[in-house]
Amino acid sequence: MLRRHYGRMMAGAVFLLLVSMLLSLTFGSVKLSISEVFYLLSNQGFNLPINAELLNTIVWQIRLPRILTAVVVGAGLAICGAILQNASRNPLADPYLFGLMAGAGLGATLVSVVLPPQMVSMALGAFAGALFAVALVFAVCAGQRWRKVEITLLAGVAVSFMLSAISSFILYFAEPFAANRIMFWLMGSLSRTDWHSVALLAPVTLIVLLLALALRRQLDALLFSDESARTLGVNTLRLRLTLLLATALLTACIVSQCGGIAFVGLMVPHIVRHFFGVTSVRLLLGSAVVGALFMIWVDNLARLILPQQEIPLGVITSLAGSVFFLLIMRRQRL
Amino acid sequence: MLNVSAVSLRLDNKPILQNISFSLQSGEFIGIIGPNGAGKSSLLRLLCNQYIADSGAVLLKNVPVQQYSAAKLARTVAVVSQNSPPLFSLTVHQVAAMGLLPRKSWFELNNSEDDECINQALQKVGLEHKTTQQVDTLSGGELQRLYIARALVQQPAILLLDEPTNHLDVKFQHQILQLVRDLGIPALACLHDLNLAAMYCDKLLLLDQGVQCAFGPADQVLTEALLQPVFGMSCHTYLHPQLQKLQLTFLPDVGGNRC
Repeated sequence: MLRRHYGRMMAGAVFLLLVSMLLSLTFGSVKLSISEVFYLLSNQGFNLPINAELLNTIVWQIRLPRILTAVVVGAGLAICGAILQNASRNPLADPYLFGLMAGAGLGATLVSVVLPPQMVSMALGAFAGALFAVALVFAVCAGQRWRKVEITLLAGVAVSFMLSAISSFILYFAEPFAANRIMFWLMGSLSRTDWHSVALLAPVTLIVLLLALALRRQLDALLFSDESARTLGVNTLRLRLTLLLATALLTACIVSQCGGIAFVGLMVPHIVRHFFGVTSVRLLLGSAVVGALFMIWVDNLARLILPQQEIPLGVITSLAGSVFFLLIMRRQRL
Repeated sequence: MLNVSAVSLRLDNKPILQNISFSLQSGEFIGIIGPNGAGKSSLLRLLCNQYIADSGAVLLKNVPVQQYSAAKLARTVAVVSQNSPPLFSLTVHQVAAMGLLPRKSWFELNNSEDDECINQALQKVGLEHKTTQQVDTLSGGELQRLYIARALVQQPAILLLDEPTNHLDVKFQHQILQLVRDLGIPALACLHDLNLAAMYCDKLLLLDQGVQCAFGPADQVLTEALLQPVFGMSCHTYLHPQLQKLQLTFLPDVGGNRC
């Protein structure tokens, strides 16, 4: 069985990720060879011939930060999905279907309209919006104690649509040419990312991953029932709140930099469970690597499908995710 | 080990338990019996701090149970409840390893002693050959034994079992209760089958509508005078000639007053 070869699967996935990152540096409107990429990376911009300076800028200032952002965004969204699915005992939970993305989008939109766009204020606004979305989903599901998968799911979808509609409304009236911005918040893009994005997202992703790894036994205990987890000494309410806040923070930071990228958090943990295993350590580490790998190739596709223009990432992830979603629903007979 | 004195519990303003008093001594196996809605499961929840008593005291090793932190309580009391299967399929070893949770800090990894503890627990319940098997492929009896193994990994001072023989066939019912007896850990189990309770438990606590009707050895509790009003049926008790244990048979269509 595949799960028994966890070490080998993990090593293979990490190798694929590194190769994919390297290959991605060669893709784009200016084609580069692997040897050129190696040369530019190893010289770090020093002692280059004059004609290589443009290529150096392309690799170090455009492609590398973008690829690293794709890595942390993919890893972060997949980790959020894995945490939310286990914590809510809902196999269909992810930051998008939980309303977190739409909430973060609304928060960031409001901040961007009212204040001059700054990374920290956008992230904080997105975090506040994500918390607002969580509170709304909680309010709708109050009393159900997370038992009814369908109710949590429908509440998340309803909150998601409502908050996205409000975001679009605000942008429509606040800006004369709002279509691009609305597209960005609804479908996501890595085109605006730079080293600042990496500096914000990498530590937050790492902190949330470490927190979830620290709470791995508690997350596993939740797979049975709240009562069962409590008899093992787990404070289920405190655990859920901690994890929800952590996922809201990470989702908010991602949304503030890349907009709303749907379905990554839903798909990746399911694939990882099948190939890597169900327990939290395997799930979280596997989701981080596979999520990063997935997002790198989604971004490559988004950059390369149409000549001279990018398509939003959400177009690809939503297409893949919706088919995946239907397959899960059919399998689970929800 | 465990002292319950004059405990009462109300939920949603309804009395669930009234003035319950009993004690569990070292090595004892107590069965909680009574009809549906008697308050058996509520009493178990109260003993593991899931419910807080309105009055009275639950002393665990002479310390009020409310003073235990969640982790310390889980290191002292292990609960085997009616578990639904896990959301995603885990292996037998992974489920048993969950019993380590109360003893482990955030980043602490499993060591060789932990693996030994898990293996011993699985050996005690006879699942040592199925460590890599998925739990959704286990029979009802095996699953129940696995939950007992998880409880053993907690290394508890007391074991609480909520209807451990439910939905099991006759062989597994006896197997589970014999296992609990053989473990030698003081245990308290809610049981529906009075003959099984009489056969395996040292003492019985008879509840009816939250009221304690009797507490003591089987021959003092399983009397026709006590059982008829509680279960609303007349019964016939006798000493089993081979087992030398009290057994009983209920006879239909006879009413009675409750205690």
